[in-house]
Amino acid sequence: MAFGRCGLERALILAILVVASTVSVAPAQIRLEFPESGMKFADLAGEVGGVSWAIRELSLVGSIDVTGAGGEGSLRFEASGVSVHDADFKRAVDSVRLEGSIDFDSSTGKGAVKILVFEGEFLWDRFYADLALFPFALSGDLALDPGASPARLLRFSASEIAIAGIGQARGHGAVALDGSSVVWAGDVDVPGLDRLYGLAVSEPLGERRPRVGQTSVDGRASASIDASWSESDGYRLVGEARLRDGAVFGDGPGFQIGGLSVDLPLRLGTAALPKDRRAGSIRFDGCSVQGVDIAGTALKVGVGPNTLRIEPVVLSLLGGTATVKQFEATELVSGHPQIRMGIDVSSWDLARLARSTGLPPLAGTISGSIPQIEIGNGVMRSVGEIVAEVFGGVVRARNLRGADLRSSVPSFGFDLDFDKISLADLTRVLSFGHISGVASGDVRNLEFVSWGPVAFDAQLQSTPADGVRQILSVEAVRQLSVVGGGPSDPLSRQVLKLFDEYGYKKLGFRCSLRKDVFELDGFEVRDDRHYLVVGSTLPPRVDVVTHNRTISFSEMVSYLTWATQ
Amino acid sequence: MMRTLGRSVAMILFILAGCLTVNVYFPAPEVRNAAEKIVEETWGDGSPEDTDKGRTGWIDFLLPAAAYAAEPGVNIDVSSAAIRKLKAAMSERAAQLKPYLRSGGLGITNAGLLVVRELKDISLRDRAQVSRWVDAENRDRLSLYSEIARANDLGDGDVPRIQKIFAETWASKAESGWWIQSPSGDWTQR
Repeated sequence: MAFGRCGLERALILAILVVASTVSVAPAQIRLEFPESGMKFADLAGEVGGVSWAIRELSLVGSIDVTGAGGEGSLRFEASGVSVHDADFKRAVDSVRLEGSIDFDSSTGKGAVKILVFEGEFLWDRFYADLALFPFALSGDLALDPGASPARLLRFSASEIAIAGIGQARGHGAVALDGSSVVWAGDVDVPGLDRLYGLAVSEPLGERRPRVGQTSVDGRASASIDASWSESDGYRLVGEARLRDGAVFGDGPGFQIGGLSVDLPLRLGTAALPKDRRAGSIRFDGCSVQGVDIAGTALKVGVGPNTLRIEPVVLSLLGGTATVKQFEATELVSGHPQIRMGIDVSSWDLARLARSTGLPPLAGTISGSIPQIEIGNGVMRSVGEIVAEVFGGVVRARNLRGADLRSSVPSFGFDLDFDKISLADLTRVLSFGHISGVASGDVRNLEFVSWGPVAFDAQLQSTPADGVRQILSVEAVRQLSVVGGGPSDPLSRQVLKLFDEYGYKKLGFRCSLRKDVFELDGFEVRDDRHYLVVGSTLPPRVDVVTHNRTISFSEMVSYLTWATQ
Repeated sequence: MMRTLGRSVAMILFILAGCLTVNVYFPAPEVRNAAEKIVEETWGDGSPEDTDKGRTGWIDFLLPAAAYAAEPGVNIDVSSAAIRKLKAAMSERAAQLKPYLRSGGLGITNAGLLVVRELKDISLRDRAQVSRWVDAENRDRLSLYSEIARANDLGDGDVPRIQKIFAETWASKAESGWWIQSPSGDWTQR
């Protein structure tokens, strides 16, 4: 019996022998013929190796010849209400309607099968498919390996699976009858990549990773694949993958890429892989990240065993460039991929960056180099700094870092240094009255969760500069007073009302945020008075004093909101 | 003789001086209080504050982290932005998962996680959705335990202890009819 290894077939053959309407018996031969109207069976059920199956209706047409040495036959079948499930119902098909045919000859060990599935449901843990939306056809020629007794391999050739709306795969391969190995080689064509992505990625993974769920992918993918799996060595995927007319649309305006064209060698798996490195390419017409447009370009790619490298590439954005260097992703199938790269930033226009990302209006440029960024095991580390020439001075960002990148709540952080920035420019952008002068300072241990700051230590202090007056407006005094915990109208005394601005000798603060506790302190302490502003020597003199305030950060933000309205 | 004795005393003093006093304290009662509060907020009647506010100005960039205050009555920090985000997600998901806990389709393991016990009476489509919710819920719970450790300067080694306390709290707060796995691995219905 060529294909009599599964319980279903054994049961069917037994049932056929018992109830077949036409049975011809000759010496050492039995011929079963089923009428053109079909032999009907109902409510078949059974269990094989912990897997339960049931068929509500089955109709057979054709004939089977059984001889003492084996048999041959040709059957067409239609079935409805087919269900199969494992013991805990995590993998199952249900309410499947299908039809097909099977031809076999046990003397040659060859056969052919065709199956069309029209409707039903498919479940594999979190993956679900309504087969009425994705009907599929499966066909192929089958052969048991010749010369082996008992046969150990079932070979299939000219095999094809075509899923409506998604695509098809054609190829040949073999499966070990004891289930210990599978090999397959062939071509895959997926014109409906958007539907495949929705079905296989965003739907099953969207609950766990909302950004994946809110992303859509379009285009036509194809691949030539040589794949294998075995119990002893694991899997191996070698070949070439291609994408044409590709596009990715991320969560809102967060990420978009269009005109994507990919030619990528495949070298993935846990089994032994070819050691040679193959070249590939990734091209795109344009890309947008958080509202920042990146001009299209072509990337040269090198693929080795479970590794991917990108040759240095210059990206044009924000009126300047970003040069990505030494990009390498390794251990791609380990579950803990590692990424290393470096980036040089040159002449980014801050005004364009501010406009694109919704930041307050800024002017200046950003340049710098982060020669080493490492991402792995949910952690990001970096070496180097980005320098922004902004507010008439220099702001340096360095020690870019991230943690818990694979968790629901990743965090990011960096340190900042401010060197001789113009307070006039800064207060104009922040609508914080008007303060002129030059200041320097830094922010350490700055950490963001969900794009909001959760920790930092900051300090800023004015530094005298030639030719720069140190004055602050009435509005700035008022706002500093509010932030420092003082009255909203601190300049109510008659004599002070006569002036629009006041000179100052020094200005600055220290502040920190930890566990929602915000501490604001002056830069100078005298007689238990913590000075935010020390007024000029000449009258009218205005000092702004705080009292080492420790308040909830949310309260501080509400103060700021109120003060700047 | 006296010289030897002197050396010995000096050695003992040296060793004693070299000993470090390490205070090892795991705030179990405080974590238990926090667990009860969080379980009540997310799966009980309490509901965490919404942290998602619209952003209109530069100050609004501070808001997601700022829109919370210290939790009264809890002596460890369970109010970080990360913890609040996780609590909000878990609270939203609770209403979807509770019907399946009541029906016995889901159970609570002795590790404080959800598991699919038996879902044969619902459609395959719903089974897949429930599996996705369970997967996301367990991921958030494990992240929550890590975030509590981090917010309170506890080490990674304390995360299993936090998880154990939460597991006991999830079990004790389970509603009548829910299936709970005992520490020995047996399943019982409350």
